[in-house]
Amino acid sequence: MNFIESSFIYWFFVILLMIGLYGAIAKVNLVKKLIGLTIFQTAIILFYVSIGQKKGAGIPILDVGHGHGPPPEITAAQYINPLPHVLMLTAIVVGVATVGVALAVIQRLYAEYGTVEEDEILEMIVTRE
Amino acid sequence: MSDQLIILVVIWPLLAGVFSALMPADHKKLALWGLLNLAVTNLLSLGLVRKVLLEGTIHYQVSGWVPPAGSPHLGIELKASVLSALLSWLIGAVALLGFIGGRSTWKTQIGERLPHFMALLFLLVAAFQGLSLSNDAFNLYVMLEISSLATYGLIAFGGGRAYLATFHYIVMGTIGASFYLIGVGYLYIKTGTLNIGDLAQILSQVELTPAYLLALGFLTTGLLLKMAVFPLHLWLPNAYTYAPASASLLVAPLSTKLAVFLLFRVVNDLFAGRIAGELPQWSFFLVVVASVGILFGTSLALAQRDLKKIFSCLIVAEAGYMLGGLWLTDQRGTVGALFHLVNDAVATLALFLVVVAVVKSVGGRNLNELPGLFQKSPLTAAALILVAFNLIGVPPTSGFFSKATLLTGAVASGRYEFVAALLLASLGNLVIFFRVIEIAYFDKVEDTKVSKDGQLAGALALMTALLLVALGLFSQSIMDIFIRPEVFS
Amino acid sequence: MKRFALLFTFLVGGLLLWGSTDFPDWNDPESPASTYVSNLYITQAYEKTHVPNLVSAILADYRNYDTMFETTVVFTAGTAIFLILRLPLGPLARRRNTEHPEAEPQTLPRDPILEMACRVLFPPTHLFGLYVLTHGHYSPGGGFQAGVILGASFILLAIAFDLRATLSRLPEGLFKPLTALGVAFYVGIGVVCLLLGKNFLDYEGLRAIFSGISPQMIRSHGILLVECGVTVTVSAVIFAIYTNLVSRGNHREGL
Repeated sequence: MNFIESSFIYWFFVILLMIGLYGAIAKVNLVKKLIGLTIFQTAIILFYVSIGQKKGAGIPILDVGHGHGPPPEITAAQYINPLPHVLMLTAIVVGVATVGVALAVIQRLYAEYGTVEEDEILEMIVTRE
Repeated sequence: MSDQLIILVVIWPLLAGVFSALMPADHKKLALWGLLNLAVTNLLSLGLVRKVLLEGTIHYQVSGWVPPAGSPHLGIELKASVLSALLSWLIGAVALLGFIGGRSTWKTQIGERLPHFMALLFLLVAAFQGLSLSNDAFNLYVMLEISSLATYGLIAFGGGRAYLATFHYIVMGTIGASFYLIGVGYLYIKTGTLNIGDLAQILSQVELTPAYLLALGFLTTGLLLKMAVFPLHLWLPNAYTYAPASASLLVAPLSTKLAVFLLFRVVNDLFAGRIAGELPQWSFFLVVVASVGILFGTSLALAQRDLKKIFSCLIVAEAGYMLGGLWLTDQRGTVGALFHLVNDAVATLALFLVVVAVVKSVGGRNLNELPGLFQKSPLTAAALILVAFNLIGVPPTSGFFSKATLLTGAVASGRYEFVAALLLASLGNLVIFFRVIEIAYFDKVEDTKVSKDGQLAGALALMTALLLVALGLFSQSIMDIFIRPEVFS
Repeated sequence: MKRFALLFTFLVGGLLLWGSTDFPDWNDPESPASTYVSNLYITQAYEKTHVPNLVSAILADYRNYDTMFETTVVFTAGTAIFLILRLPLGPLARRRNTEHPEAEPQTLPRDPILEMACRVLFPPTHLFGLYVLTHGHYSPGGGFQAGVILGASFILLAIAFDLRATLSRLPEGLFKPLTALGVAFYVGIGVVCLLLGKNFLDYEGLRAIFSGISPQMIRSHGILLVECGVTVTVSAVIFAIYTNLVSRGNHREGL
């Protein structure tokens, strides 16, 4: 039981990553490749966020508001690690940017060749030469 | 103010890129704007080189969070060693020469989208500068991705077959960067820090358990994808061939070489000295892969008929030289690989400048359009011959010295398959270039008029090729001042 | 190809799992990742910056160099998409003639329920975006989240009404420079800190301008300023990406 509780998250991330990687490599439809790539990146984001978890800790936002100051004692065990969240904010934005550019390229490919299947596009390129 | 040189080198091109997007689409004004900004970037990086040579390695803490001695680094640190400073100057110089060389193609290939095209060019330069100077593992990932995104936009601008090439590049490049990120994640979960200096210190004292080995493996594989080493090279030939000329003049010389520099930092900074001792099987495997890659790249280049595609395939072979050099157990291999990095950046720039000059002189890039090149543009022809000497390894060009150092390291490590691959590649390059020169020289044509653009492009190509000779003449001092201190520290 | 991909995928998955065998247990508060640098962040961030949201404090103060480049990534993506889609079509595509004939506004179907719902939703969404930006210090939020919500509010307008009507109120000449100005503002703050004697993006330098503020509060204000720059760029780029992608670059009609 302890083994499952302590490591199932790593298995989960690896399986998700494998699904995404398979999609990105094996699929012939360009949009499906892109979806596979997105799943792949999401798995990595999940891995990083899972690094920061701590048992019994709350979100990394101190309870400070108007009228009362910070809590008297800030111990690290009360708050989960904020650093992976910061890193993954950047990674998510980078992923979105890549997907945006890829979609623009797919739109242009569709306008040029009339299809988003990679084998048909390659065939059209070869017959044109 | 000279303390701030290291950050100015990065943010000057960044600001130039951001403001380029706001400028009007006047080619003449934009040419002046671009030239001025690149000249300033070059001056700043020269100042940085001078400062590092005088004062030693510079550490710069962005946002001012200087840690007290003994406690780990907070925030992001920039580091300028002699090699990083040399690279940052190289980036500036290649960008400037490539910019001037691509100017003649703006009218036909870019048109009125120039402000945004230039914005992406400057952002690419800023990202490269940031890559060479950063000392934080995650920051390196962000820089890698900015350079990749800018490259996707620049290459896709070529239209036509460039779209599919860009899509393949997007898929493979993102998988490569994500593998790098997995590697960094595995290191983070075991050590808790992202600063390369802190990581190196922790790694030097710890035993290499599966997590660390896997981190090294994924970091290497991700960077191999970015370097385009066989068998992960599939994106490179098409992407560089169908890109517009101004784009390939900046991307081709630098993009894969900076991935090599990152690999050097992983192998040398993080896992310093442990490859030879604890992981000889990795060294064996990767040097074999590199040797096969060199031969594969050269044979692929032999089969092409488009000049630009021949040169792009040669980049795949060159990546094999550098991969093999870095992973040889003898450190002279690393010195050779790093000097080859500098040599290859300039040589690739010269090759692509030759392509621009050829297109301007004879009108096309295919081998059957080359007859009469020697008659029409002797400058271009001379440049082509010089670069051919560099790639074959004829003294006094720098190619000879880098190959010699690589060969010394390979023999000292006992890796004779790498020696064989290097020598066979020289032979292959000889065949490739002899074929090109034969068509260009021996077939005569009647009309020998060449436009002014063609003459200027040829002169620029020759100037860059002469730079290779200069690099060769000063090769020992360059290696002694900039490379050996870094490798043997 | 599929068999090779399957083999490669299982190889990668197997290697990753083998590498994870000596990971620290999940949820362990004593793991290296949770005790080395992050302890310093958690215990010191509030007293140095007076920002209770530790994620915002790290993002916009300790690691603001990364965040600057993240904003640049957004700007680069917007520019790249603009470059790719606003190109004239190649000869093959023109022959294929995939362009729809120009659609007149009156001929597009109009749905009164959708329009009314959008009219009611747009102001609160906009306000919520601005709230997320300014309250990023005290609750989950910050520049990127706010920028996305603001951009989404514009996209809501474009979906419910006609794309061209939205573009007449928010023309390309307005939001395209905004994408660049947000990044320029962020870098500009860093340059100001540089000119005032401190390191790049070290908010201590701003104390020379805003005299009389404690070192902690100037960091808190600096964080808010850079988050504003981020929001401007992200919202403009999100809307720009939407208009370019949905109209295939010609800005004539949307969904």
